Amino acid sequence: MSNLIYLITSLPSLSFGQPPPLSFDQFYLDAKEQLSNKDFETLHKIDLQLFDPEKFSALKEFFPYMEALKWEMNNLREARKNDRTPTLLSLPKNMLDQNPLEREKTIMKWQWDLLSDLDMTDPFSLKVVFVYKLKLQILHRLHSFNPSKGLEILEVVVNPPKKEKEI
Amino acid sequence: MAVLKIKYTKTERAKQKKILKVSQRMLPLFEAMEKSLMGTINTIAERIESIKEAIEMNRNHASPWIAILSDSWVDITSYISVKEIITKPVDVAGVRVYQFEKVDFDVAPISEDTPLWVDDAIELMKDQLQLLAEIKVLLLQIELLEEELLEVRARIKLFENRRIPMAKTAIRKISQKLQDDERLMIATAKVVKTKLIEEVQP
Repeated sequence: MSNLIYLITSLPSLSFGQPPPLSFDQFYLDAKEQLSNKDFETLHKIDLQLFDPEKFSALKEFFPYMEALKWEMNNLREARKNDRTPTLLSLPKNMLDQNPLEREKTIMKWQWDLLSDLDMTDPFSLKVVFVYKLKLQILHRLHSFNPSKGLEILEVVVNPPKKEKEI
Repeated sequence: MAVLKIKYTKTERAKQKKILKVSQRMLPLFEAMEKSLMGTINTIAERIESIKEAIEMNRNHASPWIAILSDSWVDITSYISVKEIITKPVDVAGVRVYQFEKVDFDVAPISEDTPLWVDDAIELMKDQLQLLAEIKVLLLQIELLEEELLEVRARIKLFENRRIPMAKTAIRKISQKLQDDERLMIATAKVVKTKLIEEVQP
């Protein structure tokens, strides 16, 4: 328990929109030192992209939101395909008028706020570390958005380098 | 310039006159072809410029959100690639070229977990790839038309600098020679006639 408290108190605070204060390697290194093997394995597996409520019961209250996100995304795609105006139930309505980058950031902020609002009765539980990892994932993803790199990637797809002829 | 080998006969003169007539009739035709080819090439070049502007416009339109393409969660480069550029053969200014029809894409399936921006990025990439494919096809058209233009110009040059002047020279020389021969024949005949008269009237 004291290790967990040490880990939680030693982690730098995270704020949305700011660069991630530590790398995942550093985070895992710190966590591995302070957590049991079992807890560390769980922490390692927890992922915002592949969220499985069966495996992560500590975050089961977050699962309905992730399901809602999937449903809303599907709804948006269907609306676009059928050329109709979509109706959003849980996601912020202003995202309909946003460009793809702003829209993604809105979704990420929505996820961030939901994670911040999760019940944290015990401020030194394993759940706090799990939430910290998910938030860190959001920050790292947010930090990866780069206009120059984005343009480079567009060029790679649109003007792929010609394969050299085999001699 | 090669030395003209001329047969000084009436048949040859008739042949050269025919060559001159045909050449003078063909020259304006080739000149019209040259004009038409040049006009078509210019039109295609203008179309290429307008496509380039459209590509730039798409890029500018996407620039406020282009940063999302570097999303560490998604490898957008694996989502779309050109499978085949579909063209159809058409005759442009008398030359068989290929006209752009559409692009067949290989697009990876989008799952429900795929971020929404991927759909927009695929649309943008489809637009850009389509426009670039059209440019590629148009450049090929220009290449073929320019090859034809070179041939037409070579023919014009041939008619203007060789066939017509050579036929004209040949006709002039043959006519001159035939006239000279005729004069010589008349003069000889006169001499023969005078000699015969002298013999008859000693």
